[in-house]
Amino acid sequence: MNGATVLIIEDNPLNVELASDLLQASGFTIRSTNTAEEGLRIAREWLPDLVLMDISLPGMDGLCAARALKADAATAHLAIAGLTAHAMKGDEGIALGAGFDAYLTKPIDTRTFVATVNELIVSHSNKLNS
Amino acid sequence: MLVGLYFLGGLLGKQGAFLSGQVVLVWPPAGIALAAILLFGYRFWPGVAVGAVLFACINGTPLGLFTLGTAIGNTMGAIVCTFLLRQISGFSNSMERTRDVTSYVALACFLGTTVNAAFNVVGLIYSGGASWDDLFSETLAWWVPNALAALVVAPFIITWASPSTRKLNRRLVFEAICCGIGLVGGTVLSFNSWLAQGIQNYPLAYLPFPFLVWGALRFGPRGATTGTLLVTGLAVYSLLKGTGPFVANTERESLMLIGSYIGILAVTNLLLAAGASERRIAQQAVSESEKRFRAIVEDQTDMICRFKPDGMLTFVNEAFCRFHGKSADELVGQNFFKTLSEEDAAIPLSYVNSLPKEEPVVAFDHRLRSPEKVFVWHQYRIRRLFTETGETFEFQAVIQDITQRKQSEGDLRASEEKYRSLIDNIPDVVWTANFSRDVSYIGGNVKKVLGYSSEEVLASGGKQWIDHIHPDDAERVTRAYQALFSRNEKFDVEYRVRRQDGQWIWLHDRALTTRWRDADMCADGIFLDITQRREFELALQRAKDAAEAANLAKSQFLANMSHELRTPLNAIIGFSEVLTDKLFGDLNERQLKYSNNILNSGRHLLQLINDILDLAKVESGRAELLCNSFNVAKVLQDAQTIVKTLAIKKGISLEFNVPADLPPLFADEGKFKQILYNLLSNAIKFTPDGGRVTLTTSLGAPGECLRISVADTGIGIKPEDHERVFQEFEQVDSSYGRQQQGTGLGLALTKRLVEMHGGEIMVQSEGIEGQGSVFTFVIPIQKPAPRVVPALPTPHSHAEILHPRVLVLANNDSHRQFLTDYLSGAGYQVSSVTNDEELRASFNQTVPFAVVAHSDNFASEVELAACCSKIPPRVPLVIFWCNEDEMPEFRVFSTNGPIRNSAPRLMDAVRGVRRSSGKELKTVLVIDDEPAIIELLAVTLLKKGFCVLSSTNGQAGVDLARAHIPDVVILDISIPDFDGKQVVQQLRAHPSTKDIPVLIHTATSLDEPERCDLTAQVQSITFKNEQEVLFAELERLEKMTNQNLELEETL
Repeated sequence: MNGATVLIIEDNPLNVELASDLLQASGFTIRSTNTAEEGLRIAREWLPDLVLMDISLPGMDGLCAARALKADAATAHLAIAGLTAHAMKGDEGIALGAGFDAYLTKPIDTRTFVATVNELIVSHSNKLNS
Repeated sequence: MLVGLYFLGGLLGKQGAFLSGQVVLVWPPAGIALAAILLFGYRFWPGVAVGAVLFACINGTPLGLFTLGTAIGNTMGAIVCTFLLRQISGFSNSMERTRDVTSYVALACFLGTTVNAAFNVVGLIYSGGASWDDLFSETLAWWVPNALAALVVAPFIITWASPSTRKLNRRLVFEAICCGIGLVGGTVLSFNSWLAQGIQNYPLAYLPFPFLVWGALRFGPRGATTGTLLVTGLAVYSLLKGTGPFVANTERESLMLIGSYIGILAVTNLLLAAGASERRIAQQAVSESEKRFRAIVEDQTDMICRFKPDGMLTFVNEAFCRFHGKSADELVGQNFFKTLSEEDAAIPLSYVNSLPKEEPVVAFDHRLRSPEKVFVWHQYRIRRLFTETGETFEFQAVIQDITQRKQSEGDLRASEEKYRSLIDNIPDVVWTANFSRDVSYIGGNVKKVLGYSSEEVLASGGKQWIDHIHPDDAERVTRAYQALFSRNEKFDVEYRVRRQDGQWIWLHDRALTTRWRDADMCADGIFLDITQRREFELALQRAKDAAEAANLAKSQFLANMSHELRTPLNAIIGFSEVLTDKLFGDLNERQLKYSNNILNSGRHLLQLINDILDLAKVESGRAELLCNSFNVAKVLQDAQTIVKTLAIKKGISLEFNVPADLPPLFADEGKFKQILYNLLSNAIKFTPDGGRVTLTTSLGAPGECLRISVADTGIGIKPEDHERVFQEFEQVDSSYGRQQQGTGLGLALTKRLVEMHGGEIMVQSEGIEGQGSVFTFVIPIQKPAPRVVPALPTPHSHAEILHPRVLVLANNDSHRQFLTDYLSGAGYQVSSVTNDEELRASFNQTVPFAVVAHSDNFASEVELAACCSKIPPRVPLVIFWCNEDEMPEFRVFSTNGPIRNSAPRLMDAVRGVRRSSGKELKTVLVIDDEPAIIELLAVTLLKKGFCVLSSTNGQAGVDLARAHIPDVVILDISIPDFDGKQVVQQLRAHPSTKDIPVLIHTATSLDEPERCDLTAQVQSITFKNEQEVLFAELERLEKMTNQNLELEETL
């Protein structure tokens, strides 16, 4: 979708590069940062359409950040998707419970990534509007 | 002197002469002579003789026979008297016995003096003074004076000259003097008539008698004889004067009368004196005896007393008085039973009363209160004393204080109780048994352990004990027990016994000492029920084995995994490298960036995998150090080069401080480099751009260890994290750190690697950014350890007969083929089976040296254990696998798991030793003309794992030796046509065989020169009936060879 904004909060530069290149190639506008604190700041300011958040971050981890975003009225409406290499049973449940609206596991499937992101943004805004 | 006395005596006699100076009343010289001989012995007779002669001369009596006769007579008389007295009656000179006196009177006075008289008379007759007709009267006339002399004079001299048993004191002397005065007075009075006229010649002869008796009784023989002498003297004097009661009509008559008076007086006196003396002496003896016994009685520590049947005390000894605290006077007369309190007296009283007449003695112990109100124990022994008529006269009580003894008894009992209680309550059972295991003492707690009471155990014998031992253990235990007695070897065994209820338990039985008890040697020991402990041990062992097996499994898993994991990475890294290198065409910027991303991620992954595997290997103990001596400086140089690119990228300056004179380090070079690289790269990674990394090398504890420090100016590590950083997957929690893409394993691995070398690693840091951290590790500069070089064995194939037989078990064809090929290549005779049934069947035919199975053959421990149980106990089950270096490993397993470390060669695994090089099988060449002997030796040799070559012919044997170069040659000397000596010569001659040790094994004994020759050339000479000596030699040789080999390697 053209013009949609995505904030990527991820500490591994290669992963950032992969995700943002893919999305940028499809017309998304991307900003990225490697710490949750920074990400929160940008999110409040920029209010992107989607926040792609890695769970395991240095300092504040993704779960906390998600909760923080949801707790803050200014950012509570933002769509937050979790990205993580942790793939244990139950992790998904925890993530969703923490406030993630969606959950993606690494390594990402590059073929479906963009479509998934699109879908997430659309369904979330539908949810909001309804 | 004697002569003088005799002379004097003679003079005296002369004075007393009565009849014309020729006949005297008393002839003192005879008495003197007798006394002299009696007192001084026979040798004095010359004195007597000479004296007599002299007297005769001086007296004017014509010399001649008379004189001679007198002389002889006196001498002879004295001698004969003495002889008679001495020989016949054991006469004692002091005349203190009536017996002595009686015999004296009889023998001396009557018999002896007759001799005197005889000689005198004969002399007289022969000198013409008398005629033979007057013999009797003359003899009598001469006898009387002699007899009287013997009665009066001689005793006087004798008694005064002999030691007396009387003690003189002043009172006695005074008394004596009084007596003497009285005596004299009386005598004078009786023989004179001074008092009144008309009393002249009155028969008052008895007047002296009281005084005489007094003298005799009081003063003994001396008194008696003195009295007699005095009276005699006075009587004679009076008679000469013509006064006294004995004056008669004729001289002869008077002589006779007074003679008899004096004689009777003397004899009576002497007898009296002797009698009195006897009595006195007896009394003295009694009193002495009494004193002695009294002393004994008083000296007793026992209390002794005597009391009448009614209880009245008649005698108490010192101890008795002391006990009661009263004096003897106070106690005697008191009632014995009243000396004790009423209750205390009751028992003795009852005993005394009930003492039967026939049994006079009773003994009993009695507790009572002493006068100080302390409880004491006394042992009473009361004896009834009888009079001569059989009546009870007195009781005698001997009382002994046995308080101490009772106390000791009590203490002993208490002590015994204590120890018994102790022994009965400890879990160990104490026993004492003899050589045949007959138990003479067993602790009471045996009932708890074995179910048999101690009585039952004591009653049963050694055989019963042995019967209760488990049959598998019985022999071992019995042997050990016997060895205890015969060789004093320590007896410490564990075995199973059957309890009374049939249950089997394990006992740990030990003998602590052996000692002699009566005439039997016996052992003291303890045993303990260790069933539980054994179970624990077993469980522990199983757990350990399970853990080891798990570890083994994990390592194997990892080894497999490494292969699996690396394979895809090969593609990832490979292809991306190819792309990046634009090998097959150009790439645009983005494509290049992407393929670089792929490559870097791939490499990162590879590093991770390697680190994980390294760590896993180190943790499971499977990493081995391949040490060599290398130059530290050079290695540091290399490391510097490697990390320089990294450092330059970040603008970090590298500083290496390496002293020039570092000694070579003996360590695993590769791992050392790994440590260095890790620390350096960490330092660089965690230092921001423009920082500095410094490496310092120094020698610590002079020459003992190498110290290397890597310091950076990076972000540092907080003190609370110092320990954490060395743990796996721990990374410092900072954004900066995470960016560095570390594996998180580096320091953990580094720490392990350092510690494998026996070193230490530590970190210093405040955690302050800019100050960085310093990692220091220390490695000891060790001596070279024996090289562990897994060399692939070069199997020797022997075209000859006897090889150890191994059985290969493999359900997989390729495994089976591989193992068969490998082992037969190494010289074994290999047969194979594919499953357990076949395995079991094969054992019916032959028993192999070992069963070798591939590790893949068993899916689980359980299967392995099951397989193990199907194999006869003496045959080892060896598991084979290839380790990660593709090297063969053999390991012996039992039903409980692996029993030894693995080894690169089958032989070593079975024998449980490590060899670092050398042939797989040691070869022995046996040369003997008798095949039977070869067979015999071969059986044992094969069992020991040797490869056996044989030959019955000397020449063939030498050829074989040259072809195969065996390790040892066993040679019989007496081989026909080509005997042992020649074999030895030939072997020594050839350069390839000259160093082979030869053991001579012969049936015949060699004569000296042969022996000497050979001893110089061969290792040993043993005899065919001493096979064990041969094998001992073989072992010794092996040991030596191995030592040599090891020595060679280390040089």
